[in-house]
Amino acid sequence: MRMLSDIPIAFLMIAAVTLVSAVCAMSLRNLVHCGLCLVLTFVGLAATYLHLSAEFVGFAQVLVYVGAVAILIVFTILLTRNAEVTLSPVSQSSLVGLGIAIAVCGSLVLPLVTSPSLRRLPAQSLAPDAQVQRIGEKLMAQYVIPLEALALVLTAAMIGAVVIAMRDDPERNDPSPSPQNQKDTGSVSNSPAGTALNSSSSTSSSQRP
Amino acid sequence: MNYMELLGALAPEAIVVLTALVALAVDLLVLRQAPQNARQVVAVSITAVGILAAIIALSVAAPSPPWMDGLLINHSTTAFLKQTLLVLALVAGILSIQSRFTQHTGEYVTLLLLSTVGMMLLVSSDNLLLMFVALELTSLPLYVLTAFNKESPSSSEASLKYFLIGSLSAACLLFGISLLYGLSGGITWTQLATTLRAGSEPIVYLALILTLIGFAFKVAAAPFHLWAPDVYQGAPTPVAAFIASGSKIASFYMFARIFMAALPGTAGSAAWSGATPGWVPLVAALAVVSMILGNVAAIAQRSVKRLLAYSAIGHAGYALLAILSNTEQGMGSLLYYVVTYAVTAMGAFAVVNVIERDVQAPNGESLTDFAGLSRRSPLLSLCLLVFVLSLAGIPPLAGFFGKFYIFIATAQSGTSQGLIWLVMLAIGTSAISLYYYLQILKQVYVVESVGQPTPVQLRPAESACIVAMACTVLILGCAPNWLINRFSPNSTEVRRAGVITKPSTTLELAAEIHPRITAPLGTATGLVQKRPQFETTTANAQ
Amino acid sequence: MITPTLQHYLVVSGLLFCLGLLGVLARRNLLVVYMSLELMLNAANLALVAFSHFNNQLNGQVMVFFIITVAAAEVAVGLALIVAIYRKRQTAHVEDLSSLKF
Repeated sequence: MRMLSDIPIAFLMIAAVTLVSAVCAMSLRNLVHCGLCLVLTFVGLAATYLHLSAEFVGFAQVLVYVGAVAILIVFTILLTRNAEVTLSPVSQSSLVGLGIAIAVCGSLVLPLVTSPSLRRLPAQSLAPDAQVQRIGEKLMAQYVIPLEALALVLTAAMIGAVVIAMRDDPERNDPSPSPQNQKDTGSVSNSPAGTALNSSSSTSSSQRP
Repeated sequence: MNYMELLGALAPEAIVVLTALVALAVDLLVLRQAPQNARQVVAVSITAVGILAAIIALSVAAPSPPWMDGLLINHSTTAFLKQTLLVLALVAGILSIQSRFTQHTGEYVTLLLLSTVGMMLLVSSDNLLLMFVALELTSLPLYVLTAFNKESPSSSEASLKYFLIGSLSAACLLFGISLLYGLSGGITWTQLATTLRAGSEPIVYLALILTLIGFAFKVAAAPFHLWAPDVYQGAPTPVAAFIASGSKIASFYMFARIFMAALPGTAGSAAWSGATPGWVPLVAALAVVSMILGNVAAIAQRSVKRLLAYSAIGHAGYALLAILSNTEQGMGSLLYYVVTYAVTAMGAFAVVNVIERDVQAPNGESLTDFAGLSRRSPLLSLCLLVFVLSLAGIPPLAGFFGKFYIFIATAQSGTSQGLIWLVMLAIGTSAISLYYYLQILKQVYVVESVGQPTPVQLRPAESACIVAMACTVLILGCAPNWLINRFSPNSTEVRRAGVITKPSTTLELAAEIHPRITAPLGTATGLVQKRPQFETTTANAQ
Repeated sequence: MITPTLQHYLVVSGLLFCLGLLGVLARRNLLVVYMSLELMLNAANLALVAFSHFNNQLNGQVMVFFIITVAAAEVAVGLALIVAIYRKRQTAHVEDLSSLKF
């Protein structure tokens, strides 16, 4: 392996930022800080992709991970904020997990370092615009079946997320909902305050015989 | 490539997707105010029509033409497996009629069908990318379905565990896939098979291990089984039944395909003397741990669903034996085994579903809820007897021949019977498993129920399903040739990828001689069946 | 100018994977566990892009595109589950998920 000093400074910096922010993302006590470090990791990875002349994937990474995933995670942090934002650090019981993970790290990185065929230089790569065009062609030809399956994955995820996060109104579980109950709920839920919805469902459930 | 031809090749999947969308639209647009029961019946009827259409489309489908190499594989084996998966999905739908676990009927059916499409694509996939996307399409709806019971506290918790562990396995699998891709430069089975060889570099083994861990999670092989008992217990029972049956068939087929067809050059050997590194010894280790841990831990379980989960881990161990035999014969025996196991497990869960509805306990059923079932519902207890004895591997039921074929395939593979130690171990753990299976039957047939035995309420569609599955298990046990001959001749993709295969005559031979083998074993099990009586007498003495 | 070899990228990717695994095994908060899972997925992506670049093929990049999309779908479901659990239990900790024994 070549010496560390032979590696260009750009790669070293990007890699360092990515790895350090990853360490912070999985080890900090404050959940919000963890989320922000994760965003930094994603950005570092996007920069690495650009460095690897994979522009399309780099921008997709920024759009999806930094733009959507990270925002969703921050939203969830805020939604579950009452739990506690500051966490206890690594707990005693997780020392076993720590041991396992370190052992795995060793056995994972060692083969990567010792395999000789990995020490090679890149071949000549395509111009960026030609690259995007060829990716599009591949998506519509060679990979069209996975692409369709991917659409189904997204559909399933959308339906699933809605069903899971939706609050069920208790009356609907009743085998034969009495018309009076439904009417009652309808009139109360017209009131502007969001809390009225909760109280209406509780009153109607208490009215039920 | 022509998109119409592609649509023709994917017609069964397209029909199922359409069915799912129609069911969702009808439920949400037309039946919004209808009573829950009517919605369920309509949704399951639509599902039944769509599934029947897909099954017919599969039975007339042509095998995939050569231009589709690397995109999709369709042949008679995949068509049969897909038909089995569709039938299992339909049964899971029927079981959920009148159940109270959700009010989102349309979404339930849609997710069930989308997961089925994922399994169908998984069975057909011919490259790493389709395999990964199909695995996700299989699992993601199952995570959601597990969380469908919002009344139960354990449902969403089981779902979250399933989700976290499933994502962990997906991450491991992905890292393995990325290394496989990088080392071979290709993503189709043929490209992988021609480039990857064992012993070249340590990184090949790293790729193998990560891929193996990913699949071990999916098929719930110990020590990567931690999600299975919780999910089987916490999920709504029809969903648990589908996870235990459908996703097992698809994942095991893919597991075997990727290692047998795509990675034959890195097999290695697990022979007792002279083991060489590769994926075979790793699979052997998984099989040993699964067989021992699954069967021993099942003894301690008080919930029948958990017991079935641990027994499923044990069964995964036997199925892994078929994979590590790494022959065409092993593939045939694996398919026979997983198909019969799936039908049996679905049947057992269907019975549990009835009992669970009957007791209506907040924490689900337990073993003692089955007490005196033989007096409360003779039909149900007879079917349960068939399922449990088949799981235990008692002849002449299907479970016996499943194990039998696997043991033969394993013993004959490898050089100079080097794998016979695994077969010995498997037979030993099967003997252990008899204990807990007979515990269930003891509750059903020997222990009296508390208070006056009241008849169990059975619905016609449900009991028809249960009886049909019990008959299938019986028929497959009495005439195993029919099924095993479907699988033995056409594992052509294994041959194409360059595995040195043996002629499958031994399997057919085994099928022919089975009456002779059945006889002595039948007397042996006659001895074993006396055990529950002995135990009850000791219990009475205490 | 000297360019980094494939190995350098793969070592970064391997370290990222390990960090993610460490987080999954050692941390107790569900959200942190989830973020660590995302790190593991991203490690696989990095390896794919690096291989794609050094093999001079686009297949790896196309796979990354698929993985990013699947990961986004998983995020939606996973975070919905965490929110649902939090609503029911007022907790976001792994230890509190013990009504089902391990």
